[in-house]
Amino acid sequence: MTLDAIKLQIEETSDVAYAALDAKNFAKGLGFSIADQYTIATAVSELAQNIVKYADFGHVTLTTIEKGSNVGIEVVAKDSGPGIEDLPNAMEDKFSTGGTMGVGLPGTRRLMDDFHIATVLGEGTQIVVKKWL
Amino acid sequence: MTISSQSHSITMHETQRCLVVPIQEELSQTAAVIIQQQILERVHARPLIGVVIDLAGVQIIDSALWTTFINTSRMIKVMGVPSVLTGLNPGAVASIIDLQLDCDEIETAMQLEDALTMLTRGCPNPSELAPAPEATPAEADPTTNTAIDASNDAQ
Repeated sequence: MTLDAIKLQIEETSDVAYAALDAKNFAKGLGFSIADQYTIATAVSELAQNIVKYADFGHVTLTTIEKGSNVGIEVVAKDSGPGIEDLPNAMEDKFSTGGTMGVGLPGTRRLMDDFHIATVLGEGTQIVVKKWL
Repeated sequence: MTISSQSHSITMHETQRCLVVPIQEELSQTAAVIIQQQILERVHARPLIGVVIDLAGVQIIDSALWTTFINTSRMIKVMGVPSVLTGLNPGAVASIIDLQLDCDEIETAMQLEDALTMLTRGCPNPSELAPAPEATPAEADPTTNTAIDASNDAQ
């Protein structure tokens, strides 16, 4: 079974775990290997965790994408939080303003094939990641 | 599949004076912190020689969850009790490595039995342990077989 898109509201840590599971099932429906299902779920978990930690509230959207005969999953994590002040540093390992390990963003980039981040101070952050089958 | 969150109480049991904490479902970080608290209270209240946290039921481990377990292990260690994580599945392990999470200072084992062997190896009073047909008699009686030599060497 494949879904075109699902949008998940992220507000508290239990939403993070549910989003990860939804992502795993979504990826499974697209035919991703078990290893990739967990990789995608972990990436979604990291992105959703960031929303809870820094923005309190946001959304994660999972979408099926196609390019030629390629199929993949796109994950959009969007919040209206404070934005990221020092983006180059936030993308480096072991940099964190949230009192945690600071591996979330660079780790997520390693887990996925494609990573794009846009952030505006005071307006919010949108991160788009993709993984192809 | 369910997810544990608030108001979660986990079933822990003791064997060979080790506290075994089986985690059988996906966890939110909030739930992991509650479990951390429950483990610390048990370690404080009971004379234990080790803690085994069995993550066999957890399939998705992100940095926040992993950090919570690493910190739990550190806290138990500060209380004087060693701990071992078991049951990590290939997907979780791949994520832990890809995320470059800290796994150097944590003791791990594939099976619960291996973890208990690791934890009871240096136990000063093996005869007081609950029945452990394989290991305990061998340790209690140094004349039995060569298995003791191996376990002594490993120390």
